[in-house]
Amino acid sequence: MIVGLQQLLVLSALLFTIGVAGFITRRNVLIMFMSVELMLNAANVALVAFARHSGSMDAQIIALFVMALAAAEVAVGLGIIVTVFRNRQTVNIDDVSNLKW
Amino acid sequence: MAGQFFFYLFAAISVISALLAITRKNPIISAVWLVACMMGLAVIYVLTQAYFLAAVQVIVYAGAILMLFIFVIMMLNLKTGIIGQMRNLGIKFIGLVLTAIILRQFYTAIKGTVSLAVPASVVPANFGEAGAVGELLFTSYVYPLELMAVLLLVAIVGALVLAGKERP
Amino acid sequence: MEPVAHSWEALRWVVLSPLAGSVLIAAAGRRLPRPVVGVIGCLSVIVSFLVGLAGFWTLKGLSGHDSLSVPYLADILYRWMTVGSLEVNVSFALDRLSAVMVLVVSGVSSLIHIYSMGYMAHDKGYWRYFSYLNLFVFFMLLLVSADSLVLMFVGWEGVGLCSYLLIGFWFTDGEKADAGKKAFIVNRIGDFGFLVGIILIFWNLGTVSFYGIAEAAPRLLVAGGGLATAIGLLLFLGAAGKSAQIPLYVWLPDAMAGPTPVSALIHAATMVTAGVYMIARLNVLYLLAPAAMLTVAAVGALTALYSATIGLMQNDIKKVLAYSTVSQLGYMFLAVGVGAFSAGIFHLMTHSFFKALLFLGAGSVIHALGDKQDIREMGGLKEKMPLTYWTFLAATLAISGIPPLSGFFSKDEILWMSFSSQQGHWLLWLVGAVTAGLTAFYMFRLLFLTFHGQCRADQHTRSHLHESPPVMTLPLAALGVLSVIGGVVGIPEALGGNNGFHHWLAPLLGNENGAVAMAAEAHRYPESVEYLMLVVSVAVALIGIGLAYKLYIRQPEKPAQLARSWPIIYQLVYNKYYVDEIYNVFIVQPVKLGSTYLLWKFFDAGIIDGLVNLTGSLVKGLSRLAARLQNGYAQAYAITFILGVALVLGALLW
Repeated sequence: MIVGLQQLLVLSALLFTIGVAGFITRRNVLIMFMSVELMLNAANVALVAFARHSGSMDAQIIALFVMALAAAEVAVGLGIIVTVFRNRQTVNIDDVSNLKW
Repeated sequence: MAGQFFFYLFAAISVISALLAITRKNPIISAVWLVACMMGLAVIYVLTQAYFLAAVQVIVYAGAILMLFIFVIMMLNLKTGIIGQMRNLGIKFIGLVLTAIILRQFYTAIKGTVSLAVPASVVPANFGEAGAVGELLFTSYVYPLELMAVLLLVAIVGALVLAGKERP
Repeated sequence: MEPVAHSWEALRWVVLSPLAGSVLIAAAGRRLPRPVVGVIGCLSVIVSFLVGLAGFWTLKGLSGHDSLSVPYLADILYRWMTVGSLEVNVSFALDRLSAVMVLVVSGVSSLIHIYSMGYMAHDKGYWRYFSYLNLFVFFMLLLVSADSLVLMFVGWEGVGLCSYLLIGFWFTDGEKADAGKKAFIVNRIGDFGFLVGIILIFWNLGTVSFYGIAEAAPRLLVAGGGLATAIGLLLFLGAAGKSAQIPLYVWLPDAMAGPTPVSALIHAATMVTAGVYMIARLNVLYLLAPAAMLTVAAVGALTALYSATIGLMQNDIKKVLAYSTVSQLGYMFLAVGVGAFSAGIFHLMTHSFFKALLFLGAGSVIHALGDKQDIREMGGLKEKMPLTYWTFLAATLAISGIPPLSGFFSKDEILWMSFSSQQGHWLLWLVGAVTAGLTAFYMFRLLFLTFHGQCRADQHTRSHLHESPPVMTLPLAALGVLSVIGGVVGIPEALGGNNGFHHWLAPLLGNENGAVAMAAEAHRYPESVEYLMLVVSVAVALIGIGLAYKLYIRQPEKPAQLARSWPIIYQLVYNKYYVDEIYNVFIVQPVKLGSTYLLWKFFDAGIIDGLVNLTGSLVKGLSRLAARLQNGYAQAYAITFILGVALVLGALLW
């Protein structure tokens, strides 16, 4: 018995939205990062759904690559966070926003 | 019918875990809830005949990535809510409104999809299994595979350089 | 009248030779030795004269085959513009009228160039002077040999420019520079009228070429109609500016600030005659607008009388001659205004001889006295500067209209025509005759005070008095000869001559109606009336001379006494009727005020600068707003992404 496409997509949409909401709402940088992971997972769910419903495995391969990518990204991202917060031991890092004009 | 029931169960588990993950004050708790979410998703992958992917999900996401998160959280010893990010609540509110709008748009889009469900009898027997995935990976998708390998290498080196000890 | 063009490629050198001279001197003149610069300048104009002479002979050879066809030499230099139905080329036409003008202009110019080599010998700007002078001759020759109104206008503006450059030649002196500006600005006012006239002509007749206008005007314009009159009056406004008639004459007396040979060339012999030439050229147009012609004649006569009265009292030798020029120009306009076009051109020619001579003679005197120009400080120069004196006397006799010198024939013809022509009037004649008397009077006053009697100059000046060098006196002599015998070509039939001048120009001046009119009025009055007029002219001149003799030789204290007896009149005339002051109060100051407060402060600085600044401020303000987008917070950026996603999804789902 196959899971319905629409249900799967609804799941994906919900997860994605939750990820977005988490990203823009939380002030903790690590939780922001985790929200990004959530969004990536939502995409994966959509991909898997379409893989099943179209009968071709290409989407699963893509989902696999997405996971690998996420791993790489997390590694580097956390490295950056560690460096940044190593250098600024103090709190109130409002000037991590150095990119501003 | 059983499939449907399990699907709804684990879908609910995933969504609720996600919600809880983003709303907790303690980042460790958030990470743990996220692990739960990943597990739920892995089950759903099994239900949609993406067996290999389900395994990879558990190993890589729940096993590696989130472990890394937990390591970093514990290493930095961050107090909750200390790192200051954007304080302007007005814009955040607008952002949430936009998010709701997007959700609504997703709903509209999904309503219009037509499921061209391919019955289980037509898909190849080894659909979603490791062997089939491997076969595809090493034939049609060998270039992306190699590139991904390089990317991972780069990520490793990058992480090492960034977070390694400074030379005297 | 059927114009027939004969191509003659040498014609372009008449115009281009002085241009080449000017450019050459401008480029290399600073480094070349003075004699070389002078010779180049003179040669370039002499070449024009010689080529013009060759053209004249060629033209003479072509003419006379049949009375209807009027041949002329044509040379198209290049196609300038063809826009819609307007076609203007840089092309020249040497017909009977322009041949006369070319010869007069280039001939007198050559003599003045030679004279300048001596007069300007000690000036620092020697090469600049000759470059400008050559440039002027180029533009003037362009003006007279152009075959269309537009090209003529180019020459018209060009001579105005060169006039400005040459009047303000010694520009380091503020007053002299101002005189140059005044000339240019007043000219410009006239040019506006001219330009509007050209536009009206093109709009209604579809052509700006002279032969085209002559052919189209009788066909398309209503004789005596408002359009023809308007065109005539507008063109006359331009002529009044260039040829210094009321109300635009005020620049010419001030123009005496320039070097004397410049005054001789530009403000006596050539540029100021451009207006007369223009009206003679467009005679077909004017004959269709009697009201305009009457205006021309009336203004001419009035100007002649008016400036003669001012000239009576001037004490600067050049100013007397300047007002005399304005007065004689008035005569020329009187002539063309009553339809006597050839008489006007005849007087133009003789006037250029004797007026150039008068100015050059004055220059000789000024040069000898070490740059003094006040005649009250002169006197008794007759013995020290004989050649200057005798040529000056010849010119003075000519301008007073004493037979058999050239001025007599030309002035007499004008007076006769103003009385007897179909468009003439006895009142015009009367004004002309009175002016003739005044002319004789003030010219001889000038002669007596400058050359006769006791020398009133101081010791230092007297010791340096000398006759001018031959390079200056030879042109004086040449012009003297021309002033004396120049009238020979225009001796009227009444006195036994055949008036060759008139017949040479007749086919071009006045269409059949005009020519018939000429012939008709010759019989309007019997010959005896013409003789009477002749005698009256001479008598009036002699009275003027006699009066001058009495007041300035016999009883030298009398003029001062008269001045004291009628102080109000004296003050009024001596101060030129305060016209300059009136213009200043009513025109110059209001324009200045308007320009400063309305145009500059309000409009330019306020509105236009304000708009520009507003644009700048707007951009600044907007960009300040936009800069707030870049606040460095990743979450804000993410929200922007989401906004984009929402928009795209919205678009896709619509």
